[in-house]
Amino acid sequence: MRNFIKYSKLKLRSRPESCTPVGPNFDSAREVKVNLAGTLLEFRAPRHSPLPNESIPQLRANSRRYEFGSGDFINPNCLPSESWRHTAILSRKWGFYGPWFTGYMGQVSGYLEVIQLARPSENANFLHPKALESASLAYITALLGHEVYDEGTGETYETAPLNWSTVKQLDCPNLQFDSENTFSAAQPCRHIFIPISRSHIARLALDIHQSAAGSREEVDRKVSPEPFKCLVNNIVDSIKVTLSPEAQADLEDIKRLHPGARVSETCPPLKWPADVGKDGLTILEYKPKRYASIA
Amino acid sequence: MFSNTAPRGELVIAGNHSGKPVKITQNAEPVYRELVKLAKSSKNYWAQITVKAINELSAGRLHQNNIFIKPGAMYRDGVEDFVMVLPGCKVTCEKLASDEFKILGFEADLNYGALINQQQKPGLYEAKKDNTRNRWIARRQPSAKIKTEKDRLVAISDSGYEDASDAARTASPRVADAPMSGGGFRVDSNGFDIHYTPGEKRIGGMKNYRRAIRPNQNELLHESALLLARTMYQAKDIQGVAWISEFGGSGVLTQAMKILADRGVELKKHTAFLYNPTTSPNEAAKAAHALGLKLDRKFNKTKMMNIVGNRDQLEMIWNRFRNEREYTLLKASSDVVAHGKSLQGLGATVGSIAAAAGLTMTAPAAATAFLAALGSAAALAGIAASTTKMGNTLVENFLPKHHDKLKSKF
Repeated sequence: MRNFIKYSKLKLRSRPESCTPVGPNFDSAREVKVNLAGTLLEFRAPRHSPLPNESIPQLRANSRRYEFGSGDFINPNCLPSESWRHTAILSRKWGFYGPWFTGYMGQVSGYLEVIQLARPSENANFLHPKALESASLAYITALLGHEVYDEGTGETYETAPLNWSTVKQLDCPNLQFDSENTFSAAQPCRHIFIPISRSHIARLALDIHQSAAGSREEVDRKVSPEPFKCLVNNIVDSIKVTLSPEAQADLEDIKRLHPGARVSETCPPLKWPADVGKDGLTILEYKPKRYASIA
Repeated sequence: MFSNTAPRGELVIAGNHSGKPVKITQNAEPVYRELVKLAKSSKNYWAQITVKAINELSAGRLHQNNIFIKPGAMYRDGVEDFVMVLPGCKVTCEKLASDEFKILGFEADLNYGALINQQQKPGLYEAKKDNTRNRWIARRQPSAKIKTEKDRLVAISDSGYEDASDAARTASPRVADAPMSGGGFRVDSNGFDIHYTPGEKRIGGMKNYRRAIRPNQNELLHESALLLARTMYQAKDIQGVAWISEFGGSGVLTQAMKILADRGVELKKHTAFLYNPTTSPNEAAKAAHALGLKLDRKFNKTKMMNIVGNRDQLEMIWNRFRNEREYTLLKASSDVVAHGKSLQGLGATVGSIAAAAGLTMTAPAAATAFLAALGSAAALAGIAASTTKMGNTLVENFLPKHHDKLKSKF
């Protein structure tokens, strides 16, 4: 348990030069179990413990079986191509605090959603590792690839994928990578993509936010990123997936037809800025006003 | 010392042909050159402000006297020292007896751009709710211009936040509370721009009472205010921009409005709102009037316990009554009554009414005369507010059209 007196939410003193904040204890974290159209996704996560002035409430997962119709719109501010839809499943935040009344130091926010194409494609089968790979890259490009910091030099705010890998303990196809800010603090966000059916992918985003200003090194010195990363890794290591019978059958088919298919070993960061076509999967060259007619 | 080249005099950087000559000493010149070089790129808008402000000295400094010039001692021979606080540098100047200006030195930070990038200096950010991560993120706008969208909301944050996304997260429900924002749904889906001022401490409030009641004299905010003033100026052609300050952001907004107003700028297409101001709202209202902003029915939302924010509400109501045609006596008096519900407002209002009635009480001077004129109206509205709370609800429910008609009057 976090020592609530030593690591209090109260801020009464100015911050120390550097510190290692403390967040929620993972040992006592309960299991979260969601039924996504027959596929069981389980992982352990601490209780929602938001910052003192958090305005976005937590989203509790239902114990019922989720069915996915056409999905919800994603804010066009974030996803201007409107080529993907999502269903939000769960959102929690975990505050991290410094010792002896130095107060809030950062947070990890966990967010689970199920994504699907706005225009469902007959051919795409996300259970195929290569399809999963291109879908995840297209989705992250649709989200972050259009956010240009400087039109002149084409610098983007974020870069991805970094630390490309798969979740070790899972048998089903899956992949994970980080996205990071290109300047100032890194603020890495871990994205985990797990297909749950032919046309749906569960995406878990674990977003680290160290609350400090300065260059990357300065921020890491002021607020150590280790405790945040430790929580993220613990959550990722606890993920368990049981595919639904239909998805399992699909997966067997793929294994029989393409025995060698697997997710790439490595993947360098994508060349951003870039846009995504209306189908949600094709990565196109960046054009500043590409989606202007929609907005 | 022994070379043949003629000694170089002081270089004139502005006002060579007309106006007052602005000279620069040899020590300061390289830094000035460096600033001019930086100012050539639109990314270094802060350097542009600085260079222009120095060059504009040739037009005298009366129009700049208001805000970012700290006058120093006047010497017997007519020489006067002063310091200009500009983004990225402090300039020490001398006004000579011959009405020339001489720049003695710069305390320049040529890394200012990088510091803005690292959120250690004031800057403009776009705040948006990332609903695929479920949090507010702040994206720096490199040229410090707001998004060219009609009815864009711009928050002016207090300082004391660790970084800009913290400020955006805190500001979002406050922006949604402003009457012109359209509520949480609009704010969440459209996002807003935020002028972020980094700093250890909050601006204004009881802890900084002396600075809080004179926001225009707080030189700690000059830098941020100048940058905001530039952002406001650049947005002058966009329709319906709302400048919404939260808590101490009112200090920055007040100064920025004053800077623009003193330069004769008008922002008639825009509006402003103060969410729980911790600096004098009356000063803000005066600056907003000078700038020609069109204010909504309410100009601020001040919490009951906010001492600085409630301190000069009566003067502010008087100023609004005098300057805004649509702000009628009825509206003014109902605001006086509403203000009376705050803790010290109760004392002040009762006190001024009593003073106006001839009793000896201390009361804000402007308000006394005002209240003498509207004593009866206030009393009337007071009765209306206290006894007809229920009556209002009844009218609203049974005679909705009539209620709407009445409502527009108060």
